[in-house]
Amino acid sequence: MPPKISKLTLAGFRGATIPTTISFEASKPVVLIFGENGTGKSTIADAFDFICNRSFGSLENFSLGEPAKKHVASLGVKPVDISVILESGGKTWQATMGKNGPVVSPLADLPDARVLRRRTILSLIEAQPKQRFEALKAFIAVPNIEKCEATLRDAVNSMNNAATDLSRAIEQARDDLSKFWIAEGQPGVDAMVWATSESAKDISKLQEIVDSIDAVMRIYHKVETALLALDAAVGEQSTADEALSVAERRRKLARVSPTATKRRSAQTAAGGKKLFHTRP
Amino acid sequence: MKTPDEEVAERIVEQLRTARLLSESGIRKLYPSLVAGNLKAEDWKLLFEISRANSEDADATQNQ
Repeated sequence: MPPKISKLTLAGFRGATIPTTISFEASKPVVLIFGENGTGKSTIADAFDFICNRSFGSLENFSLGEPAKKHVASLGVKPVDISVILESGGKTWQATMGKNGPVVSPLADLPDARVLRRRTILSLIEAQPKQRFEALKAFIAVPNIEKCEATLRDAVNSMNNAATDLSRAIEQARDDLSKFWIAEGQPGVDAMVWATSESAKDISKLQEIVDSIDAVMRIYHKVETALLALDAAVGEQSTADEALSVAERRRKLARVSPTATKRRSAQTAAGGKKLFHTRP
Repeated sequence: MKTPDEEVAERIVEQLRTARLLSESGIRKLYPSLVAGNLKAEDWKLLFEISRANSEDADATQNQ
């Protein structure tokens, strides 16, 4: 918990025409300042705004056409002579009026002050519900926590789905195990006990057999591949033989053709214009 | 003054610590991410898994 404010000293600030120091009891959880109109309650609140928020407080929106800084100083006091000193947790801060507004020194660890004014409360009461929420949003909205809550919900749903899938897989594995157990003649007390004892057995010899079978299977696949290659080669050989046979026949035909041509020429010469020869 | 996000994040972290649902290192990582709102579903899962692993290790040590 941050340290409580112990002292506030005003000089030349609004209604504090003479330097005024207000001490607060640190042991009290709440400090209530009350008094008649014009006794300086708003001046104290404005002093907190001045030093903690570098604001002109209640004068911020009532400049009457002039800069608010002109009205912050007490009557007869120059703005440069304004001083607000705050003490808290053994530290001291001082605010004065600079060229562009309040200047605070030092700025480090400056207490945070929120001032809720009557007009703010009234406007809140008179506002529509949506506007009320907008006004209070800065105090109650937790958008980042809501984002994280949504992703947490996603994570929970995703983990629930994964758990459901795993449960189904376990159920399926139990069913399969039960079938194996029945197929084996239901040895032992139950399927799980049987499976546990079976899985505890030395399977190195069985592994050797499996390895041998794997080796045989590998050789088998090689042979199978070689046979396929042989089949392909035989097919190619057959195609080549057929092509050779066709070529041979064509070659023979080509050898016979010149003789037939000569015979036709001779017949044409013997018969004059006779184009057709009738067989006797 | 703390923001509402910071206030709620502090309470969440404190309740997780009290319920021992997250490890101290997980809690330390969780707080800034909660405040910034950048925790993804995968981050939550990782936090749970790390915490569960730590919890199982602690149980095993106790049993020994």
